[in-house]
Amino acid sequence: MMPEFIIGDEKVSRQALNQLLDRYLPIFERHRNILVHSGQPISQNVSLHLCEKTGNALFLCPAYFKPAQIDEIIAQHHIDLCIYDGDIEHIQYHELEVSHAVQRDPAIYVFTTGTTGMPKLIKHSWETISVSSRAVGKRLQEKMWLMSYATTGYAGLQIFFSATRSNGTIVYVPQGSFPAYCESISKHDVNIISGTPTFWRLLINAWPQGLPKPRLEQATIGGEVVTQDILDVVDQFFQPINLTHIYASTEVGTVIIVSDKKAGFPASYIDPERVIKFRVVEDVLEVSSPSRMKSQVRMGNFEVSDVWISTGDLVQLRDGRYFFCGRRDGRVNIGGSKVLPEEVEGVLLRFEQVKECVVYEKKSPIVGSLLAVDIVLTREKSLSIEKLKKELSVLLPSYKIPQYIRFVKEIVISENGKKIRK
Amino acid sequence: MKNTSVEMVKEVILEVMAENGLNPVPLEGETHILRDTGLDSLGLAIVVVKLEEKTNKDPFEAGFVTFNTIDELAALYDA
Repeated sequence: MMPEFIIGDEKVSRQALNQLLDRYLPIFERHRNILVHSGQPISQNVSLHLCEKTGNALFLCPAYFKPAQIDEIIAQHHIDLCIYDGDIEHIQYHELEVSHAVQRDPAIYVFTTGTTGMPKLIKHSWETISVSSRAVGKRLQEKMWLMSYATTGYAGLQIFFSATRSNGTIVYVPQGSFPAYCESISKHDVNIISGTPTFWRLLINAWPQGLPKPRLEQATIGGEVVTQDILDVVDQFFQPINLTHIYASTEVGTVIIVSDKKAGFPASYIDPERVIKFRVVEDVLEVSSPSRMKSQVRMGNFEVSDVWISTGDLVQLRDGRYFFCGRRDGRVNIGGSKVLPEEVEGVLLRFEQVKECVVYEKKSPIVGSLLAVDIVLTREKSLSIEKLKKELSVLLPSYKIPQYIRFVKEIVISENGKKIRK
Repeated sequence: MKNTSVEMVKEVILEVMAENGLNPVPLEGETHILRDTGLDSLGLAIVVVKLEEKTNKDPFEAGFVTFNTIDELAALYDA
């Protein structure tokens, strides 16, 4: 029988997990609003399983939240049980008084950092949060899944529910470094990997020569703009049986799945007869979907969202397909012209010398804003800033050419595998 | 201390000139950056960003400070 999950080299059997669930069930049953604050898979798994079973509300806090933030959430949301780190023997928890004025409300609350401002708290039902697990076909039962995102976020939860409902095994890589990912993927012969374009690119770059590749049945790309380049690179390197790219967010759920190995999505997806509805308003994609969040809670004020949710993602129609171009609020104003960092990165990544790059805005006391780029070069190649600027001048209008160029050893990515542009 | 800042500023100016395909010119403390080096305000902005990175100091944090020469710019990082 396959283990429930693997953390590094430690295998946790279904039996061991079930024993833990039986032991902690009575504690969850006497509470209503549960907060989990742990980076450890066991604490997160037990909380998810038991809250769904008891119909409790679960507040999944990212591991990096500070104690003051946790205290604020406890006070604001009538938390009566806190779950902390644990192992297969014991989970640390703290019981608070249950307020009987509070009704049991089965829900899961996920924090999103978004691109700007305060973290938002997004409320989902247990149905909407796990909707993509229903799309896991017969062929993908009892497979090995890589946990490539933070389990506390929407993307990580999709892997959790899809894997557990198909009797699969989740492979966690606690070190989170790319050499460690490569080793775990190969060693456990992972079948299903989902990641951002940046995640895939860094994974393939880090893959040691001679390390056996896994038999990938499903490769999924999403979370950032998916270009034809990255689809081709993943397809050639891993040769997965299925290669799809998806468009999803914590707010709208997983709403676009494309499996023709082409970037963008067919314009025919925008059809009022479909269950998931799309419209484009001022180049921004808006979605109305049954798998959307139930509500959005900004810290301090509660707001119930509209049927249509603006994604903030810019799209462009070309030859019968819509292509994602980047975030509306991610554009950089250079001398009055708006520049999309994603577009410039796409051009730079076509240079054989460029392994990875991130384009961002750098504030300047002299000119307001500079377009900046951090570039990781491939080891054996060299490139001067002067030469790069010259070559870019034939590919891009001058305002789109990064003015401040740095060569760096690595770029920083978030726990969800996205580039951090600051 | 003062001398090292001047040398650092000169080094960074030459670096940015090279990045922009400008031929190097001899630099002195009194060299007027915009008038004598061929750098424009954008080039100067990049010089300032690079200096901030090297020194971890941002003399313009509270607003713009006027400077013309290499000595004047270097002095901002000595403060």
